[in-house]
Amino acid sequence: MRLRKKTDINLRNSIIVTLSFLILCVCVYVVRGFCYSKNYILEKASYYFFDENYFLAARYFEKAVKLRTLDLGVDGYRDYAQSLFNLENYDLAIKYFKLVTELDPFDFENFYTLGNALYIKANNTGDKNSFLQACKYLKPAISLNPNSEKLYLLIGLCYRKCALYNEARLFYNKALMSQKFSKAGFYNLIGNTYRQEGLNQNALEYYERAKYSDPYFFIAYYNIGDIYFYFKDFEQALLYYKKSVEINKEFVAGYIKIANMYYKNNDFKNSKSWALEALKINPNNSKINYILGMSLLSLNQKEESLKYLRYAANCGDCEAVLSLKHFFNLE
Amino acid sequence: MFYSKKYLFFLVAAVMVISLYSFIDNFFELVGINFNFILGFFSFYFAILFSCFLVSVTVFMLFKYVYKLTLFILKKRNKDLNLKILWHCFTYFTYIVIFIVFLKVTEY
Repeated sequence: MRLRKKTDINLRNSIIVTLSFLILCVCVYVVRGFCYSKNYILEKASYYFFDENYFLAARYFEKAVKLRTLDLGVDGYRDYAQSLFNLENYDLAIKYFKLVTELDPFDFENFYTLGNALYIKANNTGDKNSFLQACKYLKPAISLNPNSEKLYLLIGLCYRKCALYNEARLFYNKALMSQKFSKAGFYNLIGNTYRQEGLNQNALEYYERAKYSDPYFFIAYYNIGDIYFYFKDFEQALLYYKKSVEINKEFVAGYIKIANMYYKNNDFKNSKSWALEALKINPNNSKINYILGMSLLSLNQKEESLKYLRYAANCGDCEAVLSLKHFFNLE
Repeated sequence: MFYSKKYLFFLVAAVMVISLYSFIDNFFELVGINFNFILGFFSFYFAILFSCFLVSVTVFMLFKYVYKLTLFILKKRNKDLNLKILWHCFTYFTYIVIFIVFLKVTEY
């Protein structure tokens, strides 16, 4: 009986302590809630937002949203959505961007940011519907401001992701008709849509247009080179690749294509020299290292070639790994 | 605390950690991470219990040797320390840790 009584006392005291502890926690929470003024929360949120500390900014904005008496306003919701977007919480960001477009339907930037968030989300998840939703919000943005190039670029990209090339071309053509943006850029984009569809002749036509609109638009030359390469007209392809690097001497992709073409034609001396040129611009590119390594190997400079092949393999180039494997098996 | 009915302590601690974890889960939601709530709760619960146990064992051992040394200096009869003290240390530490985490997660 004595033992039982002792146990009960311990239990009773424990319950009292635990209950007091819980009451203390509740009191602290409630008192703290009353102590925070609404303006203080918003000020802190804005401070962290402009300090680019988006996690804390989102935390304060979230608290401000929970304080129902506090109206965040369009700017507050926009900043909250932007913080969430920067934290890669796209679902919640989209929810608040939508709210911003409802609160202020006359600012095209609101529709653009919403469309952009939907595009990024769709890109991450591969959700086709989000691309179409982005287009839905970008259309009113274009009608609000037809002079914003980024709107045409984004809507075109969204349609292309959904393989709706005609729609993409429609907006690229609209941009061209406005005559406010780079003609070469939009001709090139139209060419890209045709190329994605497999209509290479049409693509070539538009790349040529891009080239004539701006003779210094090196991407057009590079793309024309690609088309000729597809048509197996290697001489023309090489000519255009060379033109692209002639205009932009820092254009690594052009150098790679040239070096690769020489390598495939067993002209190892030329492939080596072009790969070395590319290496001067970007020494970390795995593809260049691979081509250079293989060219040197074909020129019987084994020691040096291994250095480049190993680097390419370390960068994750599968071809380099296979070549090294093959090389060591033969050895 | 709850020395006579130890399972009650684990139950009470679990309830408190659930409410605490709901605040923490909110942070994860804010950055777009959707953790499994039950898995997250259990990891957090065991992390708290384990860390508190380690601290309480350390404190208990320190206390034990200081106690023995004092008895030795005072030339008094050596008495073994009751494991009840270890349990008390563990439970109080758990409450303290929960309170500190609670203060941190509800701070603005």
